[in-house]
Amino acid sequence: MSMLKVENLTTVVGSGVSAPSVLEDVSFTLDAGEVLCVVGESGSGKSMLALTIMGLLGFPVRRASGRIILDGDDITAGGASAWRQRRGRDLSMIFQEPMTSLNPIMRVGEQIGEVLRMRKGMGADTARRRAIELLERVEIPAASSRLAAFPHELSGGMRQRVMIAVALAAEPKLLIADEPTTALDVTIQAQILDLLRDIQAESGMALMLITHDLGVVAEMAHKVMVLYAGRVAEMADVETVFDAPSHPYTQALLASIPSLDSGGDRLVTIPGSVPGVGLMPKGCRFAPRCPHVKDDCRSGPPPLAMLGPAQRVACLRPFGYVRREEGRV
Amino acid sequence: MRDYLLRRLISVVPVLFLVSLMSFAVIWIIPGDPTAAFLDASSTPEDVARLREMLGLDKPPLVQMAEWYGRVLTGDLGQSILLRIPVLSAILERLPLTLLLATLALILAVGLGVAAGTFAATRRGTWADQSVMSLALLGLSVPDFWLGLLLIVVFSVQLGWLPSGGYVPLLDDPLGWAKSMVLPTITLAVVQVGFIARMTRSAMLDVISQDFMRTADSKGLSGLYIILRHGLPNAMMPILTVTGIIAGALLGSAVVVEQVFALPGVGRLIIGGILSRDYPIIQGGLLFLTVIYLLINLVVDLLYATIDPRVRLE
Repeated sequence: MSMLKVENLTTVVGSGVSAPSVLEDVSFTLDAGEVLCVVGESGSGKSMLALTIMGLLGFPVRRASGRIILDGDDITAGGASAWRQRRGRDLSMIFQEPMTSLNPIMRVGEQIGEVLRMRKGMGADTARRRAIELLERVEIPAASSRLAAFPHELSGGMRQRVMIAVALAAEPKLLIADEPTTALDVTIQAQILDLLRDIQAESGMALMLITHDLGVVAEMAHKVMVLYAGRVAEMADVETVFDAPSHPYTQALLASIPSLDSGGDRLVTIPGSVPGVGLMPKGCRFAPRCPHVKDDCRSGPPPLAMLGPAQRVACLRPFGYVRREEGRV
Repeated sequence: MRDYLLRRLISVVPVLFLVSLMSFAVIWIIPGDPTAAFLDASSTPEDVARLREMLGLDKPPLVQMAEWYGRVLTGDLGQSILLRIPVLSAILERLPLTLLLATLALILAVGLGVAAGTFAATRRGTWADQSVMSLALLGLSVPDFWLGLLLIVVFSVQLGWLPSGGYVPLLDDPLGWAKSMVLPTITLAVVQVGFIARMTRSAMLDVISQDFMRTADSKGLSGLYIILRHGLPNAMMPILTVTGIIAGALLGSAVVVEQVFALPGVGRLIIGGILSRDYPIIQGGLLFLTVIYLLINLVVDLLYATIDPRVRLE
């Protein structure tokens, strides 16, 4: 049985039936022990998806419809307070900005400890010992002396490790990491990703990793979901995505990875940008930027159709498959 | 932390020097002959000379200044012309009441203001927010002397619940003491409650939108705990700054409120000094209030460093 099952999730800005959507009809499943990478440009709805699942959307953004089933229970059913009970216990999240995601005037030991005490019911001593274990687990040297450190006394990488320790404190079933390495420099990025992968493999939790770095996807993912303008463009296992990308958007994303042998050529880009919220085209949302667009693309949203056992694509002509070399669109 | 304390202490010295200079200069700045107020038609030139000598006005200004600093440093603020007692003891005698009044008002203002501002911030844009903020604006706009008179009319004259003025020492009659402090405290606090409430609201709104508040929310902590444990401490810096300013303003307003409620505090002493041109009292009172003000701000600065560990580094 899948650990996380998201069904027809739609998130909108504002109230009323005509409120523009930032996520539309998103469905997917994620098994325990699996890593799902969610990719897409800025504005594609990746972070919105994470916040919607966490129940952390802030006014005026709200979940309009759809269910989120975690380990067999619909977490949307019990309302905001039941959802809050789930957070930090069944599902937790690591944010993009380690510099600002920790409380600047609270010692890191306390920021980990409060989860243990308030959510796990541990006593102060047990919580302290467990906090040291967690800091050791995220490979922070001299863990016990770091408990008393304030965030500003730690580097960005160290802070992100603390964030991971906080997120792991209550041993969640699902961990969502929203671009956890974007703000870090390259060598630290690799360390943090290694750490996340080790912990994920060891604990067997489900990991949803949001990234716009396809290198990270290749390293980490079992499954990949490509979001475009709030809709799922393509969903497949990682080999399929890299070997046989079938949505023109996925192809364009892959084509825009700079490679060493591209020499001094201009970098490949996707012309145009993601349409703004409320300015979505009627049909396929990628149509205005798609090199293979035909008239029928503009008539209605293409369904997310099965293309193979491990691949679903929302495109009317998914077989317009272009190999990497020819992929300069 | 010790270095920080030391640096702050040293920075107080030049301010004190300047303030005492200004206190000294009062006698020159206020127009008219300082002796005029104490003399009448029957005064002889000898009387004038004696008074000038008593005030030290017969010596060259620089000598006067040196003498003034010498006396201030040894704690001698001179002799009140009217009361005929040392200025220092006149002030010290009345200081506890003024400090008590200001402290009570400060506690009330900070307590109520922070609570109201936090409440409004967490309900941003709702009718509750708007009502609280309208009340705060109203409180901010009411002149204290007028509010004091209004309270006297309602609670003393009409309802007869509380005395309209006068001071009852705590040890003589605790209940009477409490009753005598209620109206002055409220009068003094209302303006500042409005001020602190508005400040707290905007500081909290800033904090609420910060990433670490979302992190706290992602831990599944309760809403109230997040506001009190993560939100408020981070909003405390601007609130503290305002509290320091207010503490000074309260000492100033106390002058008016003591007058309205006939309380024998430092404020009334200074007003009496001004009205009767009792220069030593004016000088001493001014210097004293400034020193208290500086001390309050020193405490505020130390509190900054206690609340926010990053301050100690600067």
